[in-house]
Amino acid sequence: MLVLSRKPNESIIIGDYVEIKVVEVRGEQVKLGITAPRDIPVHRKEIYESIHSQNKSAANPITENMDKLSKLFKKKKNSADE
Amino acid sequence: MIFNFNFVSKEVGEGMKSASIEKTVCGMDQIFFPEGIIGFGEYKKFAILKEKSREPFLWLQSAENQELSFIIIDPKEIDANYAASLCDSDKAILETQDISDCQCFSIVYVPKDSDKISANLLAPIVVNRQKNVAKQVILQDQEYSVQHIILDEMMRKIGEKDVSSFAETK
Repeated sequence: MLVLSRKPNESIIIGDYVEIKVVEVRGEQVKLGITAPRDIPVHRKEIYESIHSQNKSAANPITENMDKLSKLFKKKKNSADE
Repeated sequence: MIFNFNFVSKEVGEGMKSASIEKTVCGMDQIFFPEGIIGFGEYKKFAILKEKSREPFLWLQSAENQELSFIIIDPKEIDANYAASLCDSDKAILETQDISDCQCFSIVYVPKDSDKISANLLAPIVVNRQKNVAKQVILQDQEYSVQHIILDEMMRKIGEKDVSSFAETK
């Protein structure tokens, strides 16, 4: 990992098109401003990781565990149809 | 909203790992994920399969890896007011400026404890129905959960109906 020190209002440029600016530092919190092309998504890492891990857990489910829930949906559908 | 579901028999649904599934899926309407699904980026082609006994749950089956499938559900089955908003990079991948061209599906997590079956409402699979292009979108600034427990929601909805019909008969 490349480690650089920046003060508030200083920036880093990645490639030709991505800029990360330190907007504000308040106590332990650093506010970052990101400028990137429209087609490059930007996410907080922990959110991305939680989705990554949730997807891995969800892949190839054991469907026997779903029977109870499927019955509830049918019950809900039947009562809505009444 | 009409969507191109591929209908499969219960046997095909349960036998997802059978040798013929790849061949079966090849003949179906497929959806292209330019970025794959988060964590499974190398697989770009999927089909949505509908198994009558499992409705409203559906299968998202890889056309390239017979070992890869997910259970999905329309998030509106869980939250009738569910609304996803797309950011610029989502719109670029999905080849549309308009969310109404798209249909959302949530990946369902099925743990051993069936009371904890949950849907990922924060990162729906968004499909452009006109172009059959899709992306797993991470919703920004929206307070949805990665693990929204489905059972709680269902019990609430059924409970409300039971309570109100009891009140009427009284």
